[in-house]
Amino acid sequence: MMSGSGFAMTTVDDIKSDIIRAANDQRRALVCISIVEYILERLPDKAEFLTVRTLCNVTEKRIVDDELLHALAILCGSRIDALDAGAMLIDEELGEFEIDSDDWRDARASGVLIHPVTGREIKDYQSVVIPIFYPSAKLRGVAGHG
Amino acid sequence: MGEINFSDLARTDHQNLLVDIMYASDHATRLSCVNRALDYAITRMVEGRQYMKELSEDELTIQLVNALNFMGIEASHDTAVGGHCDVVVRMKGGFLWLGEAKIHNDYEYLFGGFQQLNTRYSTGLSGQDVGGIIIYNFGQRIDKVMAAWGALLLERVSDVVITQCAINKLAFESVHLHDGTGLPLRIRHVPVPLYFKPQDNVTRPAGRKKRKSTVL
Repeated sequence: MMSGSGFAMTTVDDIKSDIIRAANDQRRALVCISIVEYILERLPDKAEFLTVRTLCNVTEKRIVDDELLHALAILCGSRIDALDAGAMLIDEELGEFEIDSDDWRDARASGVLIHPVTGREIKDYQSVVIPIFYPSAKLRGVAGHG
Repeated sequence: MGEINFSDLARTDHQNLLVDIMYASDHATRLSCVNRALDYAITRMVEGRQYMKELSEDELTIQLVNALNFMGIEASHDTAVGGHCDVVVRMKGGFLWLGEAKIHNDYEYLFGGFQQLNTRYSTGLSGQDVGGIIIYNFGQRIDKVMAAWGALLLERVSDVVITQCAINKLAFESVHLHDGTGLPLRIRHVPVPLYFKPQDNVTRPAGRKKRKSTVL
């Protein structure tokens, strides 16, 4: 099917086929597909972002293992482009703050993260920042067009 | 149970690479991930070099591609990209890394691979302007092979600039202008030293060695 712009529209089946090809492993592909199906069931309203704990539950894993990390690398980093990876600071006193992707990239490169409210450097920031995952524009497009 | 933070997410080099792939937001970071995975895959191959002697160029490359996939990089062998390229890596944002893998017998053969990459496979477009020449070498002194190969490139490719790889002492990077786009084409030249000829003259006994009885 072609959209008005002339580009073929991505369907859920396209994404699943691409996952099977990219994952190169049946179990890994099933983990990817279960995450995509979980998100698609909740879009457009109820899937703002997912935490790793939620993803463990979705994929029926008690702990984060290589298989889940590999699946997330495929969904975020490959041309499947189903998820965008982000980060959230959990400050027990001041609350939760989504970290801008450029700031997070800089923090990972430099090893220094500045608190968005206090302006102070956060010591051992990796222990107070959690990974979060957003449905990508591509996946939202799939959900939006059925 | 609480949420999982970054300290708990990745503990091994492999897990850290997978996280870096997830968070790669630009092509430079994607290239860095490919290079790390490639170096890891080559290290594994070299560690098992005694089993590589009988393998063909294609079989060696399939091993390499399988290892890249294991590391979290979407790689394929002999995929059509302006022809049939040995190693094709695709990532988010249209990123494309192409590799030509050759068993070294003579430098003209290596130069043929370089020219395939340069003039046939690479589009030279932004995000598709990187690649690699992977050199399997069953002979001695890969350092001398790489030095001679670099010298030949300097002689044959008019605008090429060569720099030593910061991570791998045996590898180097060449940059020259792509014929089609006029943009710099960056190619990493990575050796796979597979020479294996043990000189220790130790042969394993065919059966289990009998334990000597000890007289106390």
